[in-house]
Amino acid sequence: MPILGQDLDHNALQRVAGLQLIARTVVESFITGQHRSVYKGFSVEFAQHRQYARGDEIRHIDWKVYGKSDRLFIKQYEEETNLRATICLDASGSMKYAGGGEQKFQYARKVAAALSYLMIGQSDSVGLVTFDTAVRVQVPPRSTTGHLTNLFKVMTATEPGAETNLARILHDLSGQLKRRGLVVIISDLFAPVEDLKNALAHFHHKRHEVILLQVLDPHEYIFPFENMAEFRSLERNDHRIRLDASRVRKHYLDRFEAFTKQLRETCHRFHFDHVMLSTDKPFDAALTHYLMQRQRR
Amino acid sequence: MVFLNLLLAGGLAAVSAPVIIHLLHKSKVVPHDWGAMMFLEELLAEHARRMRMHEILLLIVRALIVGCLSLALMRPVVKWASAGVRSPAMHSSAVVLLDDSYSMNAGRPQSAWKEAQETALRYVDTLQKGDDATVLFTSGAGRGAPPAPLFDLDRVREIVRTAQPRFEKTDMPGAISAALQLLETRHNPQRELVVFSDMQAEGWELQDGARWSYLSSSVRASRLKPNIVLASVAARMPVNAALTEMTMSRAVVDCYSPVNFNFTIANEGSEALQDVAVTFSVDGSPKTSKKVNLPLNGREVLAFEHTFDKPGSHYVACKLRSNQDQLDEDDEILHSVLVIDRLPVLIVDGDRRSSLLASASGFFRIALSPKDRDDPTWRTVIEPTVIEPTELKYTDISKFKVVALVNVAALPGSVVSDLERFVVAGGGLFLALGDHVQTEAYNRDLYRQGSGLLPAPLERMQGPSKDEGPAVQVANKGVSEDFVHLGGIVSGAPALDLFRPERGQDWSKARIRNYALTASLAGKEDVRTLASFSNGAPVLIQKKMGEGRVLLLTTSVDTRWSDLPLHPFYVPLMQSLVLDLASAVIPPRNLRVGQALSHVATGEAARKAHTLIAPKIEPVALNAQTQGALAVFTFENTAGPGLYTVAPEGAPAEERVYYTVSPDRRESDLKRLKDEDYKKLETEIGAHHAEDWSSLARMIGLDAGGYEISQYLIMAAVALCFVEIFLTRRNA
Repeated sequence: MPILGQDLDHNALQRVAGLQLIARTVVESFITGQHRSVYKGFSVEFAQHRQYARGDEIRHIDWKVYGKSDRLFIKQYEEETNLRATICLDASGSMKYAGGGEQKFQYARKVAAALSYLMIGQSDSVGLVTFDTAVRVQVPPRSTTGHLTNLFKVMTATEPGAETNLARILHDLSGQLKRRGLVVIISDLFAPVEDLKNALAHFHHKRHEVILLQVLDPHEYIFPFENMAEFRSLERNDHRIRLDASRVRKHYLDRFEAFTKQLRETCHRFHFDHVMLSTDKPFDAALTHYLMQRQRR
Repeated sequence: MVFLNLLLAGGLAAVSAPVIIHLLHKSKVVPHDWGAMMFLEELLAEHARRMRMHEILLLIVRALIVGCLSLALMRPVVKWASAGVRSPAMHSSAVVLLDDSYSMNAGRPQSAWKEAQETALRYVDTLQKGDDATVLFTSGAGRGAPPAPLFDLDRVREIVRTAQPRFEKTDMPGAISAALQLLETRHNPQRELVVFSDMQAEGWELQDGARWSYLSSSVRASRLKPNIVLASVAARMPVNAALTEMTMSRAVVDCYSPVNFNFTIANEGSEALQDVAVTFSVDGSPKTSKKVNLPLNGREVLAFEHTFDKPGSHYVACKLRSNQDQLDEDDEILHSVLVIDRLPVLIVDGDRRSSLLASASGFFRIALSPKDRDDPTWRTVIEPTVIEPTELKYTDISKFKVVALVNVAALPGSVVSDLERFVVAGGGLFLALGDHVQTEAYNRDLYRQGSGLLPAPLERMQGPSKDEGPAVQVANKGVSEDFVHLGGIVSGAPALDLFRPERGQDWSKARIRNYALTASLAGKEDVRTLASFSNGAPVLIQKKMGEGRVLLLTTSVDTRWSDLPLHPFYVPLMQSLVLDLASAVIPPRNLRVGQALSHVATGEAARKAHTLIAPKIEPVALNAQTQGALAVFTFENTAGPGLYTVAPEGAPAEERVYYTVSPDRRESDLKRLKDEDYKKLETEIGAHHAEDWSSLARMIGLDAGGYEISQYLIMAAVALCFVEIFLTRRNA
């Protein structure tokens, strides 16, 4: 298992630099478009009120206080620079899939990098957990710029591999996170919904906010295959299923639809965000779209 | 189930096509690395069984579609009753085989033929539109081009109604074989062969196991086993008196000696016959009448003697009349007789001397033409001419009826060729051996490895050399231990009939000292031994060659090798042998029905037109084919028995030439097939015997049978296509 601080070769460094560049480009373009509003984006802990000054956004005025005191106060968040975010990056075999677009893991890694960059840029603490069958690397949250580089190194050094046990990993992780914070799960979420539900319930119980970024290849929700096909598991070498793809498409899509629906309902129940990211679409646009939506709430 | 188009059975292999396509389809698997296995696993767990069942069902449906179409092309017929019975749902190909032998005319008041016609017409009425039928007759079955199937049943009825019995010999196995071959070429699924016959045993040849075995195998090899029914008519055997045979006491008839005509009259029917009147006539003039009584299966030979007063063509007739008789066609025998007044015989003497009796042919010549001192005018018909071998090549041998080579050493090749042509054209050649005969030359030039004139090769000369003197002198001295005697006579040798012991003749006293031993005759059909010595060695060997014959006497005709000339039988024996050799009348004048009539005219008559007067037809002007000085007139249509007269235009009555055409006399024997015969026929070819109409109707099974199911298979294939479309769409 790669560990934090592991030496990276030249190519790895180049890849890290590339990832950093990607993340920075995405985030800066986002900030350019949204001005300062992002700074409030991930702050969750209210600190105090201060008197309204010209230039403050009207939407941050605490109207309840105004109702009581007839004076305008702005809500300030004490921990807005101390947000503890944990990015859980799925590095299981299924993330290796690259059918109709970019490889799912590469796509997920970029998303993770962009989010890390964004949050550390806001002085938030960002941790990283990569996992497949078990947790591979766990980087505790920090908010330093050097930490960002470490995160990138870990992300770059991680390659998808073995079988996943997503529900159990998340369940364990929810137990390990002592302080409540933001948990960003970047995964295809291919696990039984009931199991996931239990894991998410655990997060919810510990009052974590969870964002599920489900990375999918278009082939996984279109299933464009024809005739006889042998589907070889990316997680287990000996696992193969041979069937007439055109005949089972309808059944597959029905099941996929049902899975997605159940997942969405589960997230809604816990007030978690569920965002579906398709690898054939630019991740920056999808991410920006999501963040803007979130900011409007 | 049987198949009308079994050749397309290979099409059934197409049933495997959907399976093969399915397997090929399966083998073309595209691999995909895949992450979302959990959905496929769930899918597989939930739908695998259903999908597999659906797949198998679809495969079965597709295979069934192809299978149904393939089977439909093979035209299957489902039978639910015994093989061969008719079904209203299935068309039939029928062969109506009518026995048109003249025995079918027997029966009063209604003949078997009439009954057969009526039954056959009734059978034709059972055929339906779409059935085809062919009418075959036993007389003509298997000859000429096979008749086409008739779908016009009125035409079939017309053929049956207008047919008449004929006089050809019945060959029932051949007719059935021809009928079976016809059925094999037909296309309707139901095959029937119905034989309408009086079931006269004669003509079935049930004893010929090889033919019936062949027929049996033919039936077994039939694609569709035919239903063979033997519909017998005229159940009761008629009463029949018949003239069955005629023989003459002499092979050659001359106008100097009386000749006996022996007619056999037989009771071939079912009752004893009383007062059967038999009339013998010559050239149409009744000569003698007799009456006979014939018990059941009785047989009597009536002899009529007659001396012809004029040479030329004559005919004799014997006719019987009986009120009880129910078959007229066998009541008369006609026979053409060629009466000669001279029989030229050429004797080639290989050791001719001044003294007649010292010559090799002396005794022989005297025997052929002896003189009666008391009656100088008495003479025989034989006119011998003696020459030496060297003269032979300058002699026109065609003027002679018989050529005798007596003790001739050898013959040049050209003479041998002339003699061969002479014999082939109908002449007789008599070979008598002697001490001059060169064995090697005979074997080389005359035997020619079996293709020449000599009936058998000469192996060696038996007996002492000639130095001991003539055999007759030695014999008179009483030394007999070196002699052999004349021995047995082979039956069926008319020339030797007179010399059988039962005729009071004893030729065994003759002693022969020298004779030639010949090689075995085994395996030679045209050569037979007529008589042998007491030691079994052949003495008379006859060979049939072309139209003529060659007779070899393995000893001499003089006294040098034997004492034959000293015995009383010598003269009649030599005459009989020569007359027998000369008996061939070429072309033949007593013909079988269907045998072509040929008349040869020579000299002035060859240039005249000839007319034929035949029974029941108008006189026919004959066309001539000229061959040198000869004119050959031929008439092919001798289907009717009776007297045929050929005469040059404007010629007197004595120039007429009489020919007779006779049917096969075996048809007179009206004995029927027995129960064991029917059983044998059932065993051999599966033929069922129908004794009457009701049993015939039952055997052709008018209300049972089978069904051709092609149309249903096609309908099933169409229905399965819809099922396939439904299954495919549902799956899609």
